[in-house]
Amino acid sequence: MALVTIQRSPSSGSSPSQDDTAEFHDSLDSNRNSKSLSECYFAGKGTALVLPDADASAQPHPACAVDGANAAPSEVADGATPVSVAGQNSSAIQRHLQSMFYLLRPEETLKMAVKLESVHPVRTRYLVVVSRMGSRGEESCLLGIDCNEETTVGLVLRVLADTKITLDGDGGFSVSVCDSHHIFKPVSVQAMWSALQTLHKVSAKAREGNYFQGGGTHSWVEHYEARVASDRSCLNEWHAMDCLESRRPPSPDSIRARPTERDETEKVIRSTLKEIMMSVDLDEVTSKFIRSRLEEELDMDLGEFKSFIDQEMLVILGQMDAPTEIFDHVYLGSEWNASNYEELQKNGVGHILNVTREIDNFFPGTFDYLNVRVYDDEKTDLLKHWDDTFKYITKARNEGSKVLVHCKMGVSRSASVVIAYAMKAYNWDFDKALHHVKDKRSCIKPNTNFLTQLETYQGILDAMKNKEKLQRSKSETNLKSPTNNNKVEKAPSGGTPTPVVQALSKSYDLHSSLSGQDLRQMGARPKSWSPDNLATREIKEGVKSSPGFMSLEDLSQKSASKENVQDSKSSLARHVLMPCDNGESYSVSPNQIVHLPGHDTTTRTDDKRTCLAETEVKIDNSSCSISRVKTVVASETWDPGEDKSAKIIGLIVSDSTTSPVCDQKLSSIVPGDSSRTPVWTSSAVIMTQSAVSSNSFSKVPESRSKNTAQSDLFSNQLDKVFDKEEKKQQRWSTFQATADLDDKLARECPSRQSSWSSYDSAVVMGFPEKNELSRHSSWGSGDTRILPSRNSSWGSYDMRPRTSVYYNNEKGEKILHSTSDLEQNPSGIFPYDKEDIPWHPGTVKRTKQRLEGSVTTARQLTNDSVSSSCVSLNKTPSSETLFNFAEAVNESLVERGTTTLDVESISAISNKIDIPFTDKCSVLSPNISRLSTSAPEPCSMELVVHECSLSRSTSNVSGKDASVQPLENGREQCSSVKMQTSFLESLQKDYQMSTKKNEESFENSLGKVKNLKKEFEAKSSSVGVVDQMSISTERPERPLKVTKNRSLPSSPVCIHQLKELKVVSDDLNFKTIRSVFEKNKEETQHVKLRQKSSKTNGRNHSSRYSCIEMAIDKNPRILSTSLICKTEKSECDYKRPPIVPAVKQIAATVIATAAKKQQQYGKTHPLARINIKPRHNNPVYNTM
Amino acid sequence: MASGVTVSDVCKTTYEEIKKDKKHRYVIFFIKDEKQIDVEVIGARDEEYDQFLTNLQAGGAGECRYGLYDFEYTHQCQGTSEASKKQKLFLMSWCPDTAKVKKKMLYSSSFDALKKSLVGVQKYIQATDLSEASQEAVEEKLRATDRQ
Repeated sequence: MALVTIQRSPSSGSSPSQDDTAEFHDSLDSNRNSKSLSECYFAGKGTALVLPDADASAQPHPACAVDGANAAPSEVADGATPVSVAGQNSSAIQRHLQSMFYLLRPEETLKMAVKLESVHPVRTRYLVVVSRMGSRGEESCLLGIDCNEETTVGLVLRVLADTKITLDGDGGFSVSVCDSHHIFKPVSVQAMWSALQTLHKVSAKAREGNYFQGGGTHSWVEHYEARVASDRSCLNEWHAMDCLESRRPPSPDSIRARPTERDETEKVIRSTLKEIMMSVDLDEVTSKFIRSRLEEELDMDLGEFKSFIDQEMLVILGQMDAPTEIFDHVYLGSEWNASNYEELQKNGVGHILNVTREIDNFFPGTFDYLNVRVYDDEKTDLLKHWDDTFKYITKARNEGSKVLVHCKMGVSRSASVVIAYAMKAYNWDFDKALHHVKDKRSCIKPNTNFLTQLETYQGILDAMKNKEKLQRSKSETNLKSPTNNNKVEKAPSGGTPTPVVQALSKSYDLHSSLSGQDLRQMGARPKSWSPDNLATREIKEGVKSSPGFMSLEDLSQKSASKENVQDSKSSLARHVLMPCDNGESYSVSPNQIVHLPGHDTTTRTDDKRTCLAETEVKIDNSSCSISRVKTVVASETWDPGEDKSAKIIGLIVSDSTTSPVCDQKLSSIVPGDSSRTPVWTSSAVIMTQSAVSSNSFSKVPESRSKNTAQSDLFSNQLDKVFDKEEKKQQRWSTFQATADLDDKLARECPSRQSSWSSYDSAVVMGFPEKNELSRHSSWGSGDTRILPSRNSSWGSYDMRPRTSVYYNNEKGEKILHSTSDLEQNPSGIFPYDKEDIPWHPGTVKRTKQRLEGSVTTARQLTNDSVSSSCVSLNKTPSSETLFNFAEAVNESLVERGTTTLDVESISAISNKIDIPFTDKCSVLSPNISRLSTSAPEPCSMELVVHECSLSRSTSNVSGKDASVQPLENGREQCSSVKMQTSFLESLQKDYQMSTKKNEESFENSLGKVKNLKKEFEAKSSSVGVVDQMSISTERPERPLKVTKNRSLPSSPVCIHQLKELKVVSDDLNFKTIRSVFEKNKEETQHVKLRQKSSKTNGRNHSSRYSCIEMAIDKNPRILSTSLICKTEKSECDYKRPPIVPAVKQIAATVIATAAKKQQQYGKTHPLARINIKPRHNNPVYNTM
Repeated sequence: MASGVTVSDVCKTTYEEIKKDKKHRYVIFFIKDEKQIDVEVIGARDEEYDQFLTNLQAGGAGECRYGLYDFEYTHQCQGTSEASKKQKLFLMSWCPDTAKVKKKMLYSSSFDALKKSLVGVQKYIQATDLSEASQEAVEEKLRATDRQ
């Protein structure tokens, strides 16, 4: 026990004279003021504890006294200033302390030094705690210092928050920091006690400061880490491991004494034994034989070396089994391989992974070691080490080195490590990795515990892969739309029936032919459809990442080109195009548009251009791209509805045009008259196509290829559609959109379902957040999410059924009923949708507000710009008459405008795409697509989006029902469709009911429903379908439809059958159907008008005119006017009315979309304006 | 298990029966099919050490075995007047020189697994000939750790 003051500054040694005079002051002043130049330590029995400054100051006297008394000795003592010397022990420690201080920098404080035991008696080792004030408080590290000839640092350990100090029960303690484990055995219990106290203090401070590795602290410790200069044996002692059973032979330097005779003998024995064993058959030889041979060779009695010889024999025997080269850079071996220096050198091994607890590192200085200190038993958790081992092996590989992985025998532990490495490094599954390693080294036999852990590890790796993929997809979705594509694709895959997939696959195939990227996408996409998509996703992602934005740009370009084409086409007199631009009037507008030639086209083209520009801008904005995607999705979803409406319209048109027209259209859309009807049909098809394309767009920019493919498909479909226009028209009413997407053959029922589902899925896909969900739920979730869209889409579906009613149309009344139903549904649905959207959360309100704002703006715009356009006029009046409806309509119009713009862009894209295929078809289809897309897409988009975002859950339920119903409808159209429709209606009603805002709309809808019911009843009475009609107001409609369907086809499959039959007698059937459709349309128009003008509820039948007027006011009028202008047939007028409802729906959707767009872009107004203009143009044309 | 050889449950249960229940005097293990350490012979409680050695070498000169023996001897502690009876379990690996080197290696490398499975054995003895396996030699080793 002694108080020791150490002079820290080397300068003191250089100027001892000053020490003499100013030693005392130094010790005091420096302690307090500057960084103490001298410090006091409480030394005793191998420990030295620094005394706090306060203590030092409180004990100046002893220090001073000692200082003064021993001034001379201090000089003698090599510049150091031993203040007091209490025995040899303390003097030795003082000397050592002094020497240690030369290693320290002045900023650092030696808090404690403890002398440690050493296996080599002559060695002096100290464990030193060094501290330094850091930014977050005191930072400490442990230094292992060897004080032999030189004082060197042998070990550096940072004291971090995870430092664990444990007693080993044998007078020592172990410190583990960051998985490194070190044993210290102080020379005395007192020393250990002091060390423990200090260590606990510094570790408590480390926990207080929450120091962690790489946490920005302890950077000063690197100074010591760079100065680890102890010789190898000392380092080995610092890094000595516990629990060793198999130790490396003592290092040469540890044997200071000359090698004993026995050692030399053993050396000879070892070499001789090796020679002998190399020359004998080890399978037969016995150890006795070998020993006798050895005795012969050496000519000496080796009795006393018997155990040694046995041991050596085993070692040599083990070393004779060479390590197995599992991979180029990985050897798997045994303890003996790890101890075979020559072999390791020969194999170029630089890193050794020692997976044992009982085996020492044999050549710690020569090779780089990583120890996984585990036993080979059932309780060992190797799993947690496999990440480290993988990193270690990978690091060695990157360094061009090779790794020997060894345990005791290279059978269980090390083999497990190698298998785990193979699984992670080569993406192998467990079986493959196991078999690979076993093929290379047949003796491996991981214990059952390790096998279980390997299986777990495989699950972890799989999960990691999935996670990475998911994250990638998420990030991609955030950055780009590609994920959306994946999602869309996936969504269909989840629940979609084969038809959709087939259609998609076809589209993909078509895409593949387009370009390399397309091909890539193709390859990936088909996979994406399957649940196993992950890999494909990754590929896609990789592919997509680069092209994503490009594709958008391309799309915009395409759209531009499409615009040009459209313009040219429009100039050709594609009225359809014009209406398409309007989007709102969509189907109706087409007719009118047909009447209205150039102006509409020009304005529309302008609008389209603006839209394109906007879209481009959006594309430019990555964030916008997402919103765009959403909008696109919405548009896609809308497409179905639009398609329906468009299809219906097209059907009507075709009907009006009569079969010849259809034929012409089929023939390839002859301009002029045929253009109208064909345009419609094509438009309907295009709508579907556009929807698909829009889906693709929404999915990913890459969708270009899809679009192209879709366009191809569309063109094909269009051709087919043309061929079957009549049939299709009928079918279309029910399934067209889906049918278009799907195989032509399968179009009818399955196609509908699929297409719907795909739309839904697409919509779902549109939501980046829900991508994953969409995958699974593709159908269900898609439906659920789409619920709103479903409503709209359902409305459109309803429309389709109604269109299917067209078959029934043979009975004009029925047709009318169906149409009225359709109208009612759309009207009801639309308001519902609108309401639903706002209903959900604040977002809905916001959207409403936005919608309102947009509506107002749109109204203003419409008022301003529309002045000339009848459409605008119609809108304004409608708004006046029916605020709700009018607003909705206006909004829808505005939104339509916006949506139409988007739709237009999409359609333009599709048009562009189409162009390559066939100018005629493409032109027509683009136009149609524009129209159809513009109208229905926005609605669907909005609805879908709103619904999805707002009430996914509710939408899920209803959506599921709806989806199920559609599916059923497709196959079991009659009853199932009816039921579904009824369900949907009821759901819609429920939604409406739920929504307070909807109350008004409910009333309106109720009135509409009543009207519809009345109409239906009247119709049913006439048709005899009254029974079904009576089921429910909404239901009746569907039932009527069903009945109609039944009456016509007589079965769910009827549509197909009907189609086929129709194909046979296309013209006649088509004509009849058309007439029926026209009638229906008229009725529907009336109904719609009624619905729209809920006030005119009672009008139902009698108010047909009023309804028509109403419809005309909105869009129908234009159509009617256009129709009148065309004066081709009253059928056209009829057709127009149905369009109107669709327009309403679209309007609602458009409104929603517009609101969304506004939210997203804030550009809704301009878009709305643009849209409005086209509308105006259209009306003008209509008026014309 | 470093050699891939596992220890059968019978070994452990038998060991427990000796250690706790004192039902047997000794048990001989062998490696079956180079895969698993299994029980070959169980010695009755009243059997002598010679029988243990006999059974240990029953496989022949070229065979290796493991043997677990509950060894009893009297020990008189320093300063005590009465000798106390002590029971110590030792585990012996019997690898005669006449055994094939390969087999010897197998038993040597599998000895660890057995040692880990049989917890509580006081002494491990590696014997390569009878002089190392004799009762005297064993007792000497067992006494080596006793307090004098």
